[in-house]
Order: sequence, then C-alpha cells, then structure tokens
Amino acid sequence: MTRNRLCTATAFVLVAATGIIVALRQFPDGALAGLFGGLSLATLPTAERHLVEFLLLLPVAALVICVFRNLIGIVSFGTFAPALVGLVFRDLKSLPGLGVFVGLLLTGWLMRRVLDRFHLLQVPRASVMLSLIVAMLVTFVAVASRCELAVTKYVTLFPVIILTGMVERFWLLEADDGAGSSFRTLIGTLVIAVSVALVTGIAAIPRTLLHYPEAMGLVVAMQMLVGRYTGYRLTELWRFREFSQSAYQPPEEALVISQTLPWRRF
Amino acid sequence: MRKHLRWLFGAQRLRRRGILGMNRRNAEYILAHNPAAAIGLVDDKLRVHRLCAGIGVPTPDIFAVFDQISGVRRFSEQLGTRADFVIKPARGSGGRGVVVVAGRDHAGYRQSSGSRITLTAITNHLTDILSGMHSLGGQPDAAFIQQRVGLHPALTRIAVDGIPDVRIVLYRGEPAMAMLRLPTRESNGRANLHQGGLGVGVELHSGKTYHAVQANRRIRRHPNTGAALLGRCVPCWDSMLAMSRQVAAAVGLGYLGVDLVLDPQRGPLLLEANARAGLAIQHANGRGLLPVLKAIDERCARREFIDSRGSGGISADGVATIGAKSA
Repeated sequence: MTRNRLCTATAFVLVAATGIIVALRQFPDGALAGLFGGLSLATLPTAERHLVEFLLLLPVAALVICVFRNLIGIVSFGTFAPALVGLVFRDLKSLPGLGVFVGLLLTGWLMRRVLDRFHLLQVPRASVMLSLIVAMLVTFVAVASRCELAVTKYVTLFPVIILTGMVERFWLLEADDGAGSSFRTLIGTLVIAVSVALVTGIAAIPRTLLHYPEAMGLVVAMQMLVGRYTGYRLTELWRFREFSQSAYQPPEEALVISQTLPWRRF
Repeated sequence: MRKHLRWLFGAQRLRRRGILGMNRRNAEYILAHNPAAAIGLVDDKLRVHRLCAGIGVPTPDIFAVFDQISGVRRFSEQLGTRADFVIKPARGSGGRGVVVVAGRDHAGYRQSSGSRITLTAITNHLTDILSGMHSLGGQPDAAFIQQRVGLHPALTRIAVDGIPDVRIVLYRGEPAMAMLRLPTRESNGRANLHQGGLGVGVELHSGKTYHAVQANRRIRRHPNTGAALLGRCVPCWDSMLAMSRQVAAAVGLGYLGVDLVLDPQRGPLLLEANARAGLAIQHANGRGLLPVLKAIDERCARREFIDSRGSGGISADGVATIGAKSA
C-alpha cells in the first residue's frame, strides 16, 4: 500500500516538475529560458538532431511496450527488440518494411532448420546465422536496386543482430512448444512493433520532445504508474473467462487450509 | 455479439472470485516475498538437489553431471549400461531441453515417445544444453542425468504416455493450493497444462481430487481412458505436504511452487521448486488464489504459524477455514 502511494507520489512530482520547467521556460528573461536556449536541441545539425530524436523516442517506445506487456498482456520475442524493429518501421514509413521483416525472419528460420543438422556450438552457429542473414539482406538490396525500388536505402538499417536473436528464439519456441506458439509470439511481436511505429510516427511526439525534452518526465511518470498496476491484463480477462462467466462454485470443504504437520524426517 | 464480448467486462467478477493475475503475482507476491538470491537457488535444479539431500527430502537420483564440453565424451562411460534415464538442463524451465530415454538396443537409445536417439545425438544435445541453449537467459549451463521416475500403480488409469506430477503452491511456508498434473496423448506425455495436459485440483486437507480441467474446460473423466478423475486420493499426501513445507522453509522463498513425483518404489520425490509459480493452478482448482493467500497473511499476522522460515511448527488451532474470523 505505502509502496503504491510512494510510486503515485513520485509520478505526481515528476509531472509537476515537468509542468514547472515548461512554465518557467515561458519567461524569456528567466534563467531557465537562457539555459535551454543555449542547449536547444531543435537547432542541432541535422545528423545530431536525428540521433537525438531517435534516442528521445526510445523511452516512448518503451512505454508502448509496457502498455502491451502489462496492461494488454501480449507476448513477443524479447522485451525491447520489438521497439527497435518498430522504430525501424517508422523510418521505413511503409508497410513493405513489415513484409521484408517477416520474410527475413521466416527465411532465417528455414536456414536455422538446415543449420541444426550440423550440430554447431552456440556462438559459431549464431555467427553463421548472422552471416546468412547479412547475405540475404545484401542480395535483397542488390535485387531491389536493380528493380529501382526506393525502400532499399532503409533496409540496411535493419537491426541484423536483433533479427538473428529473433530467429533463434523463434526456432527454440517452435522446437519446444510447437509452431502455433511461435507464430502467436511472432504476431505479438509484429503487433507491438507496428504500434511502436504508429505511436512514434505521430509527428507531434518527436517535435514536442525536441523542444521540450523535460517532457521525458511525463513518460517516466507513466512508466512508473504502469509499473505499479496490479490489475488484470486484457488477455487475462480472456484466459480466466470461465471464472467470470460460469456460476460454478467449488465445494466449500476444499477451502480448508491443511493442518500444519509436525516436523519429521522421512 | 454482446454475449461474445462479455469476457471483456469480467474484471469485477474475477476480482470477486479472487483470481490472482500476473501483474499482482509479480508485484505483490514474487517481488515482495522472493529474495533474488533464493530465486537464483531454485532456478538451478542441481543446487536444489543438493539442498534437499542436506535436509533429508528425497529427490530422484542423479547419475551424472556434465558441466564441461570435454566431459560430454565420457557420457557412455559414466552411464554404463543404464537404459532408463532423463537428460535435463540444470537451469531450464517448463520442460525445455528435457530428453527422456526409456530403453536401448544395439542401434542406440529409445526415447519415451518411441522415437530413436543415437549416442551422437545425445552428446550433441548435452553440448547444446552446456552452451545455454535451453537455460534461462541463455547463459552457459550444466546438464545432468536423472533417474526416470516410474508410474505409481495408483495413477496408471489416469496418466497416459507419461508421468504425472503434483504441484503445491506455498505462501509464507504454508501450502495454499495444490494440483495434480496428468499427461494425455494430446500433450505427448508432458504434464504441462498449456500443451493439453490435465490439471486436477487437490483438496489440501485430504489429498482428494475434486475438480479437473483440460484447456480451461471442466472435465470429469480422463479424455483418453475414460477413468473418473474426481474423488481419487493422491497417495502419500501428508508426506508430500510435509516435504513441500520443508523445502519452502529451506530455500527461503515466500511464494513458490514445489513439484513432486510419486515413485512406485521410493514414494514421493521432490522434483523441483519454482520461484515464479504459474496461475493455471487456479483453473485446476476452479477457484482463485487470492482468498487463500489473504487467509495465510491473516494467520501469519495472528502468529498462528510459529515461524514461516523455520523448520516447521505446529499451528495453534490446527485446521482453519478460509474466511473464518477468529474470535
């Protein structure tokens, strides 16, 4: 209880502090306005501004991930990997990127199936996978540029390492829990990645963060609030639907907590 | 349409029935009651095995441990003529990386599923385990060869193609809920609920089964054998409860799941402990965990249990019903 209150209070302080900083900056002669004027992110050179924009969007993407995992309850390959994939989609600004991603992943998975016969040790095997994925990407870029497709200049941004990791996770999940489970997780990953792309694609968000980096306080406040959310996830409402829909009541005598048995060796 | 979407508005009803959700379990039970060091201990099955040997809780025998790739070559030397064993990663979870060998002939070994596995395939699998392919977080791991537990005569009609196990969830050292997990043909002999295995709720005070589910649906008979699932007694129930208590006290976890198997010769054996015990036990019992956990909290506040971390004790009033307020 107290922990919840402490958390809510901290979130409130963060929001208030953000508000105060934004308000103080409105006074042109104030000290803060001078400080922020001198360090303005909006006036950075283009390359630096892109980098800063990407960095500032990472916490926003992480917040989206928090919402999907803890409020909705969707599983994905890796925790923050879908965020990076989503930010790449955002740069691609197109749905074909999605197809490229799924295609690469599935082709990688097929390669991984073949590779399994060689019984390689883990790190060398991952390295071979990485090389194969890079070869695939390079081929794709070459073919696409021959066909004069504009998308290709972004494809090199694809997080190859993340893709390699995802292929490995996909493979392991498929081997252990079956194809249904791994494809469900793949769809979850895609849903999260697309949502990250859509949210960070709202032009107002990077613009606001560039002009008011202190708005990060709001993002952290929201992350903290999600961090203390102990209610049901959306998918749990479905998972436990039997309990909310059937009138079945288990027998009362089963509610008895067992007698504490005397300690004995056996 | 509205009827199909009714589950969306079920949060209130779930809360009323005391269903424990993932977020609450993580924040209020695992984070609050499970110290990181103790979680690290139970994540390693070999450490749990050693700990159990120290406190006199029986576990399945371990024939060999492989912790270096160079040692894997000596697999057949170490196993000798054994043809009945289980290969497990020390830090695996959810049955990942487990290979059950049920026999051998001139060509190699036979898995419990019926398919064959050569010696080379086994050593390759051991190498995979050592390189961390099946361990939590992919860190380097150890592999061990464990005794294959047999099927207890009392359970033959309700277990198909595999070995059932008993999961007891304990909170602050006290058993809170228990279930029997039964393998089916659909689950390929694995007793995991999400793979088609059956979850059967067990009354804590008597060890009797009273509720059973397959894939969240209530059932009364085993789908493969037609044998009745309810009203059966789990053999050696009191020892199982006592063993789970001893382990909970020894590992120092406030919220944990303890898995036990029943060997026809040796009786109940402790298989493993789990610091992130899942929520499917609520389906198996047809009830939520929260009322039980709250009742245990109340009893702890009233100091009815002598010491939840100690070596066990005798409660003041013996049997108490949940929700019953003491005078």
